Amino acid sequence: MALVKRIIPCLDIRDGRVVKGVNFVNIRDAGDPAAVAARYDSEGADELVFLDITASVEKRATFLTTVQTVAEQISIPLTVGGGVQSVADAERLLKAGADKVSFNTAAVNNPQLLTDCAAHFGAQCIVLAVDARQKESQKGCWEVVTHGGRTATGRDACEWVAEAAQRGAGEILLTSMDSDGVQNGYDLPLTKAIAAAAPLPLIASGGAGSPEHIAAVLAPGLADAALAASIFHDRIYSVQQVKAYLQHAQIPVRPI
Amino acid sequence: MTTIAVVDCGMGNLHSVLAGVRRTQTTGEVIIATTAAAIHTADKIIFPGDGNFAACMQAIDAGGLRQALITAAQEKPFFGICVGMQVLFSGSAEANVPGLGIFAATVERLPQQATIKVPHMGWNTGRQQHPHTLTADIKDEEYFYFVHSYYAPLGDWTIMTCDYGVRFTAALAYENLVATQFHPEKSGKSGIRLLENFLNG
Repeated sequence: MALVKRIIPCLDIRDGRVVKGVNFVNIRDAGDPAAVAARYDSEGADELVFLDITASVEKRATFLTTVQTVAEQISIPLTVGGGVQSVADAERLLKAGADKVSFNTAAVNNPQLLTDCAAHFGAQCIVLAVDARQKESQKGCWEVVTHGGRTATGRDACEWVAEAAQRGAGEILLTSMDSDGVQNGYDLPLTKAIAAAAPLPLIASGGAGSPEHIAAVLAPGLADAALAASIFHDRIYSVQQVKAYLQHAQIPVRPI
Repeated sequence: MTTIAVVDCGMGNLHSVLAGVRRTQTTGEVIIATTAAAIHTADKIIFPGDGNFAACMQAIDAGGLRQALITAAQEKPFFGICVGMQVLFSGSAEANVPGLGIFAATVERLPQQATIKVPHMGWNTGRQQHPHTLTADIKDEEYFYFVHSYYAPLGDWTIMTCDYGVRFTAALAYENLVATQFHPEKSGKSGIRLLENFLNG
């Protein structure tokens, strides 16, 4: 039997609180991480992603405490990321109770980090987060961007995930910078290209506005899991509602 | 009071297993065991393995825990999780080092196929082979959370199977010893129930 498709709410964490905002501006408080995480767990979320968007290094300890508190309360896997720079950073997060750690900018700058972490902790807890943007000059090609979308690297996204898979990444978390925050649907051509480029479980992110969007990105040959933030945080849809829709659309999900 | 020892061989993530055990309805005292002596004196052992087979065996030996684990696995209630189940076998395709050798079989790599991505990561169903106290009140074909690239083959020990390209051992039991390839501490209510079945059994 094939795996069921996963629904993954994503929480941005700053200074120990869940926050939301578009492109890191107009950031609003969206609650206590443990309470929000417990709600998603009980609603039937299959996994959670926590991203540390704390600006300063000094506040990193707060994030560790948050991870620890949340990990104690939920019975589903927890992936954490945001500013992970080293094997030691990953180890601290895993020890705090994270099940998987995601790497973004630091892995692009130093791909050996993926190799080292996979050797230390096993590929199963190494997630490569890739932020990709359509190349203006070449339709059907995407480049990797880093630093939350501010830095274009020129690196081809498909080539990068293929290399990351070779280096020991165990999963890809793909965010389309073209569709992120717009709620007009996931970037399906990008998702398809990345799924074909690396034989790893693939989480699609960026653009979820409705259960229909989620169903579309979970079609055969696309993503294994769909990540969403706003539609869940704003209670536009619950995880339950999304799963009910997917079941109706004949997409296999874990029943709640 | 019953002492439940969660074995820490210094590999990292036993936090989630500890947290899972604390979410169960158990009256036992939960301790972290880092020494052979602590494993010897505990009443029940939970052995979460992490990372890869060779690293796990190396950590076991570095801590001087090999014999204590073998003895415990043969003599008292013992629950191996994930790589903590795999190292109960004699070896693995993942590594050139021997395992604890409780079960005379080799852990194999999941075959990658067009629709079968490795690692096997996510929720899959466990098919119960026959009733067992570990799976009491857990329905057949229940979903559990798996994260692994290697699997234990089927054998007399198998009490639950899972299909992912191949059919493999999702849970096993042999006398006092039980183990799961999936993570009960990450498998929602059913996983917690399974932990309770072990702790209260």
